[in-house]
Amino acid sequence: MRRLALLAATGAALALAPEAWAAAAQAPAPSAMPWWGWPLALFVVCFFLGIVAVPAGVGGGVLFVPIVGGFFPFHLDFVRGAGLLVALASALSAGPALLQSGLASLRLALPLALVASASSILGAMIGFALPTNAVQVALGATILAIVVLMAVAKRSEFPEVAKPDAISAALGMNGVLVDPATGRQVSWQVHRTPAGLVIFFGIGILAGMFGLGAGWANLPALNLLMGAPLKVSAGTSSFILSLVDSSAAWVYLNQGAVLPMIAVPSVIGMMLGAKIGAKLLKVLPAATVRKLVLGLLAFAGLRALLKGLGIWT
Amino acid sequence: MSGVPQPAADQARYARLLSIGTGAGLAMLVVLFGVYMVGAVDPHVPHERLPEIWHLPSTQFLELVRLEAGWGWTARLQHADILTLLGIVTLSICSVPCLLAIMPVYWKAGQRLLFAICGLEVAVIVLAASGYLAGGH
Repeated sequence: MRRLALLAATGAALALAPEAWAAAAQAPAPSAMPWWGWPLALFVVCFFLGIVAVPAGVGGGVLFVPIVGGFFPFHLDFVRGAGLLVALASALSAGPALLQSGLASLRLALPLALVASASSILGAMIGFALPTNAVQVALGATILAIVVLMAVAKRSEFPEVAKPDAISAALGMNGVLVDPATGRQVSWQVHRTPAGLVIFFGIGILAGMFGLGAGWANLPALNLLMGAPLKVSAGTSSFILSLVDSSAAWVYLNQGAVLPMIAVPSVIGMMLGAKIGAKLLKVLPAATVRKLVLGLLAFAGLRALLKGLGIWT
Repeated sequence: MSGVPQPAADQARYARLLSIGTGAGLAMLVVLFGVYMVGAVDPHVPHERLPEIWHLPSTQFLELVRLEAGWGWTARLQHADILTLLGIVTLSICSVPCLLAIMPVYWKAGQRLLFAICGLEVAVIVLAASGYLAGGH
């Protein structure tokens, strides 16, 4: 009886908006795929994205949004919401081990995360305020810029920092890195914190607007601009995402842009894939995988750009 | 310097709580999504209707399925799809207890700036979660 009552209630609730359902019927041609085929397809795609993301040194979120947004029938709002959750879940899972090992520095992360968290809310609100096509065009352009950045950006294992700036000294943004591979201990400190804060403000806007995650920008900002060692930059970048994406995720949740049917299989697929990817790290040719992934990302970015411009719908 | 440096008290405390929060959130996500997928509890939007409407912007989607923006979904937790959001909410909020837990560490150490930064970060996440910040295409 209770089940029947619930069914009736659901039916009644949906029947309350017949005009809207009629409008929904004007949607793109219905797919022959059964409903359960979509979460399954998402899981499989994300599983493979997770596998290649690790050796390619790319975050799952940055792959997810343009690829799923370009080739699945979901509205970009739901894809961005799911992309944020993919990035958030990955960052949260990695966080404890990174903090325990010292590869992520809380004191380095907190001031930057605060600025980026606040701006990610702004970015998410901008993303919802703009017309979908404008967001799609901006997403495509951003993805293509990311591909260029990732292809040309250099990295420095232990950047030279002669003297910390006043802010980083006051906040104790320094530490000792123990390289797990060699056991070598290296003291580190950072500089150019004001410039870093400005950059992270921009990174937060992009992360919130597109649901991309932002490791692609965090890493060079921490490593090349502020002078944190490469491994500390990578670990801290991931940790910063756990705070930035938490803030932005709430805006998406409150906007109804998080659909469990899209988000959950994506999160699970990406996390399982990343575990396999980490195990295959020594077997897969990382440089080749990275080139392939960048090529895929460029294609997805172009697709997003052309879709937004109405050229390739 | 001798031996391997241990994580500082703030990092160790944060890591411990984050591990618990993330584990709980992911476990809830998987279990509740399983319940949703097998149809053990009726969803608010029937599974087979979703492909007809997930191409719509979220604002239109909400209007269509008679869900309110913000925290309105909490009134419909008897439905499996809405219930799954609890796992997502747990992941989205689990950094807050971690931040609150390290604030006394910074206060005791006289690190007022870091104490204030943690407080502000909590305020930012709570503001985002409040539902007062909204938009729409």
